[in-house]
Amino acid sequence: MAFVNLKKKEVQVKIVYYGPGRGGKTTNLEYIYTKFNERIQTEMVTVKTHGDRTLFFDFLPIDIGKINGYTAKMQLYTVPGQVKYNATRRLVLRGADGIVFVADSMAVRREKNILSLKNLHENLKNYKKSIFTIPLVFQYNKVDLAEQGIPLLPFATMEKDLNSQLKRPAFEASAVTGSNVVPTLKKIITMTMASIKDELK
Amino acid sequence: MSNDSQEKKVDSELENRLDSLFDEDGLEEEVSEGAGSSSKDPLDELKSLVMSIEWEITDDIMERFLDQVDSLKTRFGEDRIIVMFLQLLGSLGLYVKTNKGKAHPSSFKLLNSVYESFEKAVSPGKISPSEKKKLLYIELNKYKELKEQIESVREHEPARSSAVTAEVLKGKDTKKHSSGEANAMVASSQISGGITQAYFDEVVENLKNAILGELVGIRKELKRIAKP
Repeated sequence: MAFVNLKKKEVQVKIVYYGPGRGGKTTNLEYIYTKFNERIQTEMVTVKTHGDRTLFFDFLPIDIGKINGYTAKMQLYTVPGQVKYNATRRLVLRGADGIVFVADSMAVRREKNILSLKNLHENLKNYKKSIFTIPLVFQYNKVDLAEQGIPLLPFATMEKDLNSQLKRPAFEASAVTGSNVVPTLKKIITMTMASIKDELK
Repeated sequence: MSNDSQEKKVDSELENRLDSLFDEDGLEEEVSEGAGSSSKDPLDELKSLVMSIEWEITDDIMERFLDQVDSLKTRFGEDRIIVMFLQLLGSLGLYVKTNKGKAHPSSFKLLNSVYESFEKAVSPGKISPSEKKKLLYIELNKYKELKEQIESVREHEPARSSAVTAEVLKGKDTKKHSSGEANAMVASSQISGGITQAYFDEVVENLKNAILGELVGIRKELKRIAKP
């Protein structure tokens, strides 16, 4: 549940970018940071692991200003995609209000996407949250690779694999070029804020 | 005001706020109007800085160049070869920054050449990993040759104080880029004699130590922030 400070009239929302390793989660945040750093005026924190340490995430706070008299602060996180870092992933997922699932459109990553989504489902259950109710947006990343002749999964296949039951908004995107990075972010913020509003009712 | 209309008002307030904050078209106008501010892709930014260095060398340009190299190191942290290319660029940038117009003429040529190879290496699917490695070896050898040329010029010009140059070559720069570039210089002088996995590992180990130091700092910072 988002952190709401009634005294300070402040809402803090946690949005987590989830997905398989090397799928483009960090690139999403880097694009947002690079593109809008003069407007958002915050620093992006990147913590990468090495050896056996498991602390590994990116963090980008964004102050979106006053909404209905409340200062709304978004905290964007990425999780480590590699299978072995599940403890960190779980930790970062704790208290998440919304999720962007960044899937890799490359045909060779099909199974990894499915496994990662299953992992998200399991990890959410651990916090007594459901993948069916939490605000969630899919992003099918790396569509730019088609230009280089790299085999990609069609949108319909990605939808069938990942979104046939959940039926959430999905965007084809290229985090490297920035295509659909911002619409993905806007969508998850809108959905998450609506969900928080409903919970507060 | 009814609950429905109040809700609609909040929704549209949020939508407007997001539209204005993340308006990409407006941003392009801001950038074209703004003086030198940059929100480009870091790779494009690095390219334009390399081109700028051909025309003029100022502290500002060199600082921005080194900052871009640093940020790309974070971005490509998992790719050893790319990181090595960036270390080379960082070392050359630091040398040019320190010596400016007095830098060895070949250093500019090498900076361009390393950048071109880096660009090829970083383009997905353009060249194979073994070709990437080969390109890196070629640039490291050129780098070694340049280093020898600089040393020999220095020996023949004892009156000219090259203390700063020597310091940079030994990796003793006093500014923020010091540790990474120092490691790059020291490591590359060994590597260019013949790259082995052990040398790569050593460089990676140095990087890991640098990141570990950073991590300790970040943890302290996070703890400090977390305190009410």
